[in-house]
Amino acid sequence: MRGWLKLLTTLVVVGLVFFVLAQAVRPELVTSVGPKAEIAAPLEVREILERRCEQCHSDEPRLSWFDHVAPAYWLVAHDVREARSRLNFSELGTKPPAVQRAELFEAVNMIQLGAMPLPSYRAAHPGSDVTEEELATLKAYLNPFAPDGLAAMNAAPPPVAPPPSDGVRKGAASVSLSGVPYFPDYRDWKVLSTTDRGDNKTLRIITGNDVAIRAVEQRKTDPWPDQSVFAKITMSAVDDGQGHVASGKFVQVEFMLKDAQKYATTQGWGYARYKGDELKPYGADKHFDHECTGCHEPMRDNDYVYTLPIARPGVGR
Amino acid sequence: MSLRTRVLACVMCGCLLSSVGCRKKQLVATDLYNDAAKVDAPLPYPVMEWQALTTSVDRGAGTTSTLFGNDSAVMASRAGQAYPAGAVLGLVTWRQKDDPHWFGGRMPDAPLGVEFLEYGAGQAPVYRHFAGSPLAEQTDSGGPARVTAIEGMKVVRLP
Repeated sequence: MRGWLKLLTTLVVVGLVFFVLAQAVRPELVTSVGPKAEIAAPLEVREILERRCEQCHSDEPRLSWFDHVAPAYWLVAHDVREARSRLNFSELGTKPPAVQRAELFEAVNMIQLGAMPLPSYRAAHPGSDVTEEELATLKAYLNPFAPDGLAAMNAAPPPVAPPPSDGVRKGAASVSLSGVPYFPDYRDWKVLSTTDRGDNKTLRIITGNDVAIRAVEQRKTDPWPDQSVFAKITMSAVDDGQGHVASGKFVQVEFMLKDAQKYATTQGWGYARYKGDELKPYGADKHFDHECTGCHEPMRDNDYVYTLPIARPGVGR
Repeated sequence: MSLRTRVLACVMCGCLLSSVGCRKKQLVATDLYNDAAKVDAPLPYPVMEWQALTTSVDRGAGTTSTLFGNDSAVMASRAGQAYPAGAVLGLVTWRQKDDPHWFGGRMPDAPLGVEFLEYGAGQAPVYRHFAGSPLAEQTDSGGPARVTAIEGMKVVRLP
């Protein structure tokens, strides 16, 4: 009995020593803040962001006392660094208003989809949820379909480039920086859906290759079969001032190619984006797709797919 | 109940709860397909099998329309030529609804109408209009204006 007691005491003492020593290992989280530009949003919006987002998404994170206790602090430090790499409200104000707006739309969508604040953060910090009223305030401010909502923010439209020659299909040899191929036939594929995006004034046509279309016809998209490909074709939305919105200039085409094994590290999908008539592969390096996976993560129950395909007359139902 | 049993029960409950928490959400059809927007009425042409030429939105009416063309129409359009005999354009118009997955996005809801322009040897195409629920052919007099409007839709140039 005495032996057990001794062992227990030793363990507790060793544990305490480790615990105390662990407190000394403290990666610094507050970073030097440069000239701070305020986010271009009204006070009530900024207050919500400050209250609900800037505990982590900021150069000066505001942690609870228990977040400061290692080893929990180490997890928190990791999360804060990750949060800032995605969206840092201390820096957002220095970006162009249209970029700020796009980031706020993504933030609102992450909140709406339940991805933010992180579920683990919410579990450890009761009352940290964004309330319905706060979400409504953010949405009312962003007001995606307000007439001229973005007009003041958009620079003059770029001159319309001459249409590409149909004889030469550009980009046929392109490949994304992460090795996802370009599919020159995307415009010949059948339509899965269209979307009207008030958040960035674009219209989109989403087409699917035969594998994807068959999966919709057979209603077998949970998960999507390997070799399914979607092309999200984005055009600028041109409003005639009376609410008639037409498709304007081609902006970009994005692909999602399903291969559960090959793309296991990126949710089972190869992501690619080609911009402009030059079809320039998007991104600075092969890790550009972290941006894609980050945004698609909340849709994991839908095999990471946002598009709701228009149902098709079935075959084999 | 002994203390040991209680502890065991708590641990088991904890495991059960955490496994439930991690499980994939049970999806229903509306989470996976936009059934409301399906175009499956008997129509003279399989418009949803065709390629899209452009898409547009009418904010006042709360509708979204996509212009499709059969092979002959698509080829002529891409070559910048007039639509030859046999070319058919199909304009499908849906009511719009909010995209449940993305605040700031709208997508098609129920189809409101399908209009076809059938090009023949003659000067003007034949206008046919299907509307209602289920979609049925209409005998309306708005043909000439609609032909002008549909032909006026600028086809998207895709690289």
